[in-house]
Amino acid sequence: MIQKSDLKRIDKYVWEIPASYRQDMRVPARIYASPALLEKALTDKSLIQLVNATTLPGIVGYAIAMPDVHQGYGFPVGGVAATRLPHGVISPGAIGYDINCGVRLLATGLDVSELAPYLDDVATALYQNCPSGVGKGGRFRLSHSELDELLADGASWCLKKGLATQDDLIHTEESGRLKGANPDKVSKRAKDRGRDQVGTLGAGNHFLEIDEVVTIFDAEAADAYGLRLGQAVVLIHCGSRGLGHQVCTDYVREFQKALPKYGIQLPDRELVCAPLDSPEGQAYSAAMQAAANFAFANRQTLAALVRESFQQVLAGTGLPFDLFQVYDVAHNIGKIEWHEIDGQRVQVCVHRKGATRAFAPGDPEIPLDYQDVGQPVLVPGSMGTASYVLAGTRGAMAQTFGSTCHGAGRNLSRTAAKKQVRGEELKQQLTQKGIAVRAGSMRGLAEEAPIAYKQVEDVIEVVEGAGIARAVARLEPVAVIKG
Amino acid sequence: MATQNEHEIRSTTFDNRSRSVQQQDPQREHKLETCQFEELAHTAEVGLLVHSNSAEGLFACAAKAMFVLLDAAPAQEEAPVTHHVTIDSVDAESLLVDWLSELLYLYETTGKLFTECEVTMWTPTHLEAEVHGRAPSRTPRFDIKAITYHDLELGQDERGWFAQVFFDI
Repeated sequence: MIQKSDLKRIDKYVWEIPASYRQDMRVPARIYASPALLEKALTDKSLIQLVNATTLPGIVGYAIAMPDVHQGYGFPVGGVAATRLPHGVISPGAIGYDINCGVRLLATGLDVSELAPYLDDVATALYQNCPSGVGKGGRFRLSHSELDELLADGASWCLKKGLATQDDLIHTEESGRLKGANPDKVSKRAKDRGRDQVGTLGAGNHFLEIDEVVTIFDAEAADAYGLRLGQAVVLIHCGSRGLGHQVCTDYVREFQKALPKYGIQLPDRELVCAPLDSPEGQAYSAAMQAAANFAFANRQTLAALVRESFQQVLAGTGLPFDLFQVYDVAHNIGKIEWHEIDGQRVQVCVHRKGATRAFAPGDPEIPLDYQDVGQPVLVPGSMGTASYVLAGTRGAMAQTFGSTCHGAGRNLSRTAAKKQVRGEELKQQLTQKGIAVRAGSMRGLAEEAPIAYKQVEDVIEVVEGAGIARAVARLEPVAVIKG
Repeated sequence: MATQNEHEIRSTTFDNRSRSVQQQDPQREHKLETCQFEELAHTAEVGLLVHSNSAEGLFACAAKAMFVLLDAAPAQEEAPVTHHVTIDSVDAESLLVDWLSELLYLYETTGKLFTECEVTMWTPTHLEAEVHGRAPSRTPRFDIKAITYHDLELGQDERGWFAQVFFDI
């Protein structure tokens, strides 16, 4: 295990494991953490996994751990690694099984106080209309050709189906469509697993929440994002479902065979990878982008179901029931981007696993209406606790390949969480706090109890302090919908 | 030997199930295959430590254990569906990951729990099996996203064959 004495403190919130720590490291590793969060990271395999990530061929700068880092498989959750094109590698394990797991924020024209009399009904409608839970399929079962179209077009597919607005697409990372997607590189197995899952939340830590904007930290950015105090907003957290999981499984398997061909040696087989310019690397990149498009379409379809639910309950009440999209971000993804490294513009593949893109004001990749304030970053806290809206910064561009944290970060295993709290009790506690809870499984609820996560405030303190994101607004839940 | 001390080990406490199951292998008369497993907790995932007295038994036991983890109680009253599975992999560890991945795929696409498997042929890189699936009689405990190589171990010790495998859930 790595000891604190192995680390060099670079700044108040930045720590470094020098490249001399282990012979096979190609670059140093950097950890963004407060002393307390660093102590937590030292208790599991997060940092050794980060050191392992520094051995990826073609890696540049640093392998980076965010303050919400925890042990993953191969690559830590809360990790960022950039590999140089054309010969650097792409690693499915450094992106994760849930490709383009991400978060979407929709905003209503209502205050929570106005919504309050209808809150229970809206929560019930959301639970009924947005399928959630283990093994749940959705209301759409796509034909082969429809699924291929969706994989190629992402959220644009939803626009054609009347499930999206042009404004939604503008306010989605990459406009909800990665152009390098190739459905032919997605196996039949992956398509079989995802065919009926578009428009479903899934289980685990995925959820849908109605939140209240309780604090505004940055009035200019909040105004640009359309957020104001007391407003009711909706957070959706989910990913590419079984389709994405199978794409990762398929290519982790394929790449095991490719390693000897490219003479790649790795300290952990879960980090398996192939050069970006190899046939294997190109195939995975195209499949991963197709899976990412599936996730964009999934969250977009859920957004349509959210709108339907609000309309169902509020139509005829005189209250506005439409929701506009603030933004949608991916936090498990590999992206080809340009970044400045040692004074040079370099094209890299940025692997973000449990990390969010956080582009600065003025970046051409972010929507025109957010140009002056930076890209919205959506950071869900644990269930029943606060979430944050942040903005991307120049500090993130300079230090972390335009990346920041993605959540609170797990603290306890699901088993340990369940030992400490019962689902029914937790539901009662949340209800006593005025939160409407709709959950399919009390066991699942217990496994996602706030006690299983770090305090999101501690994570926000670090990213703000280190300058890799700026706090814009704090959200607190008034309704939680889970599988 | 698996590094048990690195993980919190929890005994399986599923209703009406024994942690040690002896299975008669129809292909090898008079040979009893043992199957013992325990759940390993991990911050982001869940894992298994599995023991058996043969490689074939180990793979069948790992499959059974994976579905037992879901705690979905296969409906015994209905006739099982049977699939023939053939897998080729680069080595024995990959064979285990690929085998469980295949069963996960079958489960996700048929909805059946493949708790009963007969491994009819096994080499370190090749496996053939008959797998029998039944519908769950209650909601599974969680979705398994994938079978990972994280801390994957497979080998032999004084008790026979063992494997340690973690699932992304």
